[in-house]
This record gives sequence, C-alpha cells and structure tokens, in this order.
Amino acid sequence: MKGKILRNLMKFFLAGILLMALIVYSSSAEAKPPIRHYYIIDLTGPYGILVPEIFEGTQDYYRYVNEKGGLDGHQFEIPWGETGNMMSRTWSHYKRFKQSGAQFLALFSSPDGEALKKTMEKDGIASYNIGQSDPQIYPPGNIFLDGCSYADGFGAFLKWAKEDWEKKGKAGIPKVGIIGPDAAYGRAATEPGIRFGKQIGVDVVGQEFAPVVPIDLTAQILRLRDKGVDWIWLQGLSQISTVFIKNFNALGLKGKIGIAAFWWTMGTEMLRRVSPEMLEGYIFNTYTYMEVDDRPGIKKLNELRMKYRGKKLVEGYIRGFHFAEVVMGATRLAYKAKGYKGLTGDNYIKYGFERMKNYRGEFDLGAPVTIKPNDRRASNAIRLYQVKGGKVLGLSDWIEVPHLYPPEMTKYFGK
Amino acid sequence: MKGRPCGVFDVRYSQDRAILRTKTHWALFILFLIFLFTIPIFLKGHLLSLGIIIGTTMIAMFGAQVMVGYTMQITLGHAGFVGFGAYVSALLTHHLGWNFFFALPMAGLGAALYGLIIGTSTVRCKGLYMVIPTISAHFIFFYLVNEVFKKWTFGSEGIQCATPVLFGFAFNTDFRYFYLVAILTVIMGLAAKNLVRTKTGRAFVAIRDNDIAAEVMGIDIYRYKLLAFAIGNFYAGIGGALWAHYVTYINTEFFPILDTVYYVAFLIVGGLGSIMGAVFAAIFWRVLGEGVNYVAPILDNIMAGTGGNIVSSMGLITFAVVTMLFLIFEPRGIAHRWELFKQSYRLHPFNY
Repeated sequence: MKGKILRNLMKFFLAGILLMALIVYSSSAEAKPPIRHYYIIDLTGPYGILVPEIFEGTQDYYRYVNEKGGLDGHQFEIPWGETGNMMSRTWSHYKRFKQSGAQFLALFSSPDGEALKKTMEKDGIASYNIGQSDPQIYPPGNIFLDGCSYADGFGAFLKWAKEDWEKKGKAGIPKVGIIGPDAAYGRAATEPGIRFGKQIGVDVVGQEFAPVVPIDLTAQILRLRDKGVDWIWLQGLSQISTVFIKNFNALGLKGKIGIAAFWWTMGTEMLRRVSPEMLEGYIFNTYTYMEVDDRPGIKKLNELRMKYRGKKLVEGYIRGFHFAEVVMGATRLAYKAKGYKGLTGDNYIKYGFERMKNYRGEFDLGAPVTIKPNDRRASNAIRLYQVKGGKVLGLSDWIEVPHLYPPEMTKYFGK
Repeated sequence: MKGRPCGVFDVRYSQDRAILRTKTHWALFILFLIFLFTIPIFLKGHLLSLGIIIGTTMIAMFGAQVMVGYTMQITLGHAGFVGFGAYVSALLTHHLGWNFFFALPMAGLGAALYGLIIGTSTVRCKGLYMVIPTISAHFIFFYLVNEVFKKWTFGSEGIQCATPVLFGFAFNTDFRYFYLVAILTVIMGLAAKNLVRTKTGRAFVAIRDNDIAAEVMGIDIYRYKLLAFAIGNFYAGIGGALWAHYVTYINTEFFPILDTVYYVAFLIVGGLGSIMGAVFAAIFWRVLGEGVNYVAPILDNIMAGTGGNIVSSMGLITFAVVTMLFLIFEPRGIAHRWELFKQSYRLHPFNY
C-alpha cells in the first residue's frame, strides 16, 4: 500500500517537473531578447546633486515601457556604471560596455561626451547626452544632445533680454556678465555668447569663474557689478546658484541687477534651498516643461512618479523621463527600419536620430524633437520661467534658439 | 640576514647589492615576465583596459611613494602633477608634431620641473603643513591650463592626444598599448626599486625618519627634498602622459582633486615606504573601483531601482572604509603582509 502511494507521489512529482520544464521552455522560447541601452552616469561627483533624480526618471520610463510590453516584445535593459566624474572610471565602463556589445550609450555629463567623442566615432557607437556642451557636436559625430546646446540656450536668453530692453525703452545696450565654474559646461556659453552678443547688440562683458562647489561668491559678484552689468547669467549647477543668491542678496543688489540662469541650476529646486523672497525675479531657461505647467503629460507623469516612487514630480525627474523618451523614439525608428538585429550604432544614427521629425513622445514633455542632417541637437527651442511671488511661472512660450556653432563649422551649416 | 632564504649567504658585494639574489628569485621573475607578456592574449578588451589603467596609475604611484613613503613629503597635488605631464606630452605632440616617444621623457621632465618650482616653497614645510602648498599646485595647474596657456591647451574644451607610433607601428589597440605600458611599468618600477637603495634613496629615508639627525649627519636636506619632489613628479608626468595618449583626449577634469586624495589614501593601503606598496596600492585602488562598479548596479536592481540613491555612495563609502580599516588594523599596508608572508616562506620549515 505504502509503495503504491509512493509510486503515485513520484509520478505526480515527475509530471510536475515535466510541466514546469515545458512552461519554462515555452516562455523562454517565446521571450524575445532584450534591447540594451547602456548608461554612464555620475552619481557621486559634482553632478551627484542632480543626477539621482534624473536617473530615477530615466529608469522609470524604461520600467513604464517594459510594463507595456517593451518594443515589439523586446524588453529593455539598462546596464549602468557610476563614475564620480572620474575619467578612469568612465573609460573603464566604456570598455566594459563595448565588450558587452553596446551599440547605444547614454551619457549624463559633458566631460564624458567630450572625452569619448572620437573613440565612439571609431567604434561606431551611437550616443545621446543630457550634458549639452558644444565640443561634443562640433564637428558632428555620433553624439546627440538632449535639447539644444548651452551656448544656444544662452543665445536665446540674450535675444529675449535685448527685446525686453527695447520694449522698456531703455537707452544704450544691455550688459550681461557670466558666473560659472572652470569646467566644460561652465565655460560653454561665454565665447559663443560674446560673439552672438556683438551681432544683436548685447554687451557680454565676460565670465567670472567660481569653484564647482563655492563657499562665497562676493568677489565675483562685485567685479561684475563694477563692470556695470544689467544681468548676471549663472552657468553653474545649483551649488553655485544657491551660494550666489545668498551673496547677491546680502550685497543688496536684488532689483538692481537681473539674474538669469541655465537649466541645470534647477529653478524649482532653488525654491527649496533658499527663501522664495531672495529668489524673486529669478529667470531660467529650459528645454522641457516644468512640473508647474498645466499639461496632460505632466499630470500623468506626476501620477506615475507617485505610483513608482511615492514622491511628487520634480524637474530633474521630468528631464530624465524626457531624455529616455527621446532615446526610445530614436530606437523605435531604427527598429522599424532595420529590425532587432539592425540596431547598430550606425543605424541608431541614420535610421533613428536623424529621422526624428517633430517627435513629441507619449508624454510630450519638451520641445518637439527634429534632428536635421549634421545637426546633433535634439531641439532648437527653450522656454523661459521666472520666480514670482514665491512660485515658478512661465515667462515665455517656446523661443527658437540661435544656432551658435563655432565659426570653423560653417562648412557644415553655412554662414 | 633578515629576510634571506635559509642557507643563502652573501660572499661578494655584488651579491649583497642584487635585487634578485637566488636562482629561485630569477625563475620567479622570469615567470612573472612570461605571465605579464602573455596575459594580454587571454584577456579581453575591458580587462586589458583595466590593466593599462593599473599600469599608468602604478607609475604615478611610484612617484607618490618616493615623495610620501620614502621622504615623507606629503603631497596633495599629485593628480595635478600627473596632469601637468599629460599636458606637456599632449602639447608637444599636438602642436609641434613630436613623436610620442620623444614627448614622453619631456612629460616627465616637465612635471619634474613643475615639481621643483612648487617644491622650492614647499620643502620649507614639514608633515601635514605640506598639504596646503602642494594642494595649491593642483589649482595652479588648472589655472595654467584653462587661463594662462589656453591658446595652446584649448582650455576646458580639451586637447587631442595622438596615438603613439614607433617606426610606423601604432599602439592603437588595447592589446598593443598594454605591452607599451607593461614594459615601461616594469622599467620604472625597477628604477624606483634601485633608486631607494642608492645613496640618494638612503638620504630620503634618513630625512623621513628624522630630518634633524639627517642634517647632523651631513645630508643637504633642502637639496634632497627638492630631488624627491623632482623624481616623484617625473614619475607622475610619465604616468600622466601614458594615460593621456591612451584615452587620446584630455581636459582638466581628467585630473580631479579627489584622485590626489586617493593617491595618498591608497598608498597607505598598499604600504608606505616600499615599492611593492605602490604596486599593491595601484592594483587595489583600481580593482576595488571596478568591484564597486560591478556591484552597485546589481544592488540597485535588487533594491528595485532607487535611482542609484542608496548605492550611489558605495564607491566613496567603500574607499573610505577600506582606508580607515587599514589605518586601524594594518597601518603598514598590504606590503607589510607581503613581507611577513615572504619571511615565513623563506624560513620554512623553521618558524624562527
């Protein structure tokens, strides 16, 4: 009797194992291989103040896409490596990813892009960077920028400042000084800004340098004040803008000199770091919408972040999500044209990024993405926002940015 | 007779001076060379790249060891000196079209000269007070590159560094570059090992142990301290140039201040006052960094995508904890453990 029971149990057990094996086999036979987008990011270096939230947005976008079935059944994987802004680590990740067969590499810092530009061209790897310094895209290679370049964004502000100056009927021409760190992104606006300022009638008086993480910027502010500037442009991360605002207010310059900044000073973040009164009148540009905008995509994203992270929407998250959405747009185009096996670096460029026209993505979080031949900028528009009454409010709709490529690049873009 | 294999006695001065004393030493050294020069055949791209990075770091670390470990000239400007050498080589190859192999020694000499200039004011300080002037060397380097010589260095936009070519043979793959770095690392390592056994090296050690006593014995402290600076920075410059021409592009962000801290911190981990300490330091630093790079994303996946928030600090925490643990439990570093192992092995089968 006992033996019969044992035999039956064994049969059930074996049948169960066979069934399990069949299920596993059939599911694995059906599962399509994943598409891998490789990421090199700085979480602990100078960009560590921004990147964690941006990367959350990026990760959640992939999660969202995977939950909806991926791309034609292909799930996405995003192997990543952290650099601390150390080039030896960037290099090491790059080699590791290349060895793993990377065809597309996402970057989160200008120096990484500048360092890898030539090598990626040699290796045929396509790349998209959220750090938007000029040397990465001139001459045009394998790197595309999320939004426009820092120089272009500054140019758009200069255009706006000139129009505002004339609208208010002021005499002479506006003077603008820059404060930024001695780094790729910190210097990015200066030389093209001076050049463009001369063209449109704005005097860009030059740049005062600041450490990436400064303690005091009084001397820099005073030097610009003595040059008689009407505007100070901040080309540094929020570590610089926070200290700047405190020093600027302490010097009693609020209301006497205007403050404007590029997108990585993180306008709404600033409201959390300094008192809103100190920030009154602060203007910044960005290539994505902000969490304050009343738009369906922003609302949906707010719900998504609440669902995934239990947190409210912030601007870094929006940019990270938008970044991944553009990458996905290019991937879809390349996949449609060449299929899974055709997702090579060259095809990401030729059949993906270079074919993007008026792309808005499901969430529509930024300026429409149109990439022209040889132009490695994902968009050519920015919006201006201003802090008023302790809140961030839209100051302009999309403004077309001037294309401030270096003079020696005229062979690519004409005069 | 401490540290000699059982039954090995020196009967000539040449035997006493030799680095490789026995046939076993020679056999092990040859085996090591065979291993070093055949390993690239078996290693794939990424590990080869890691090997190259370890090699260039090791050369710079030899320099740090001469300055810190042997002469106790604490430097927190080493990344700046490495960068200086890298830029000298980049400028000579980029603007003057020099061959890398002529630019390489100039990179070392340029960094040594820069070290001498900084050293003239620095050697008046002692111990921890040296941190301030040496750290300023780092920022002066940034200023020189991004401001003073911007016309040639292209400032923060960076400069391209040509691939080394020797008689038409280009070191344009990791496989080829590995051999270049390996050969130079072995040569520079042996040179450093010999240096510290010379009169000059012993003067360095005397200054480190007690500078007043050294002066009483007739050692020109100022001269030898400056010499330590020059030699240490020569190594830094060579390491920097090799690194620059490997990555083929540099800007000042390639030489962050944090690297300077790591040079000293990992020297403690590797072991101060020993060339093997510098070897261990470079390997440990880079391999630990790689380990963190591998583990952090895995942990992030396990923790359901925290956006890297939790694991993002892993690198910094791991490096700091490792340094602290070594300071507490083994302040003489891995090199000391290595010596203990060698001694016990040599005394085998006797335990005393």
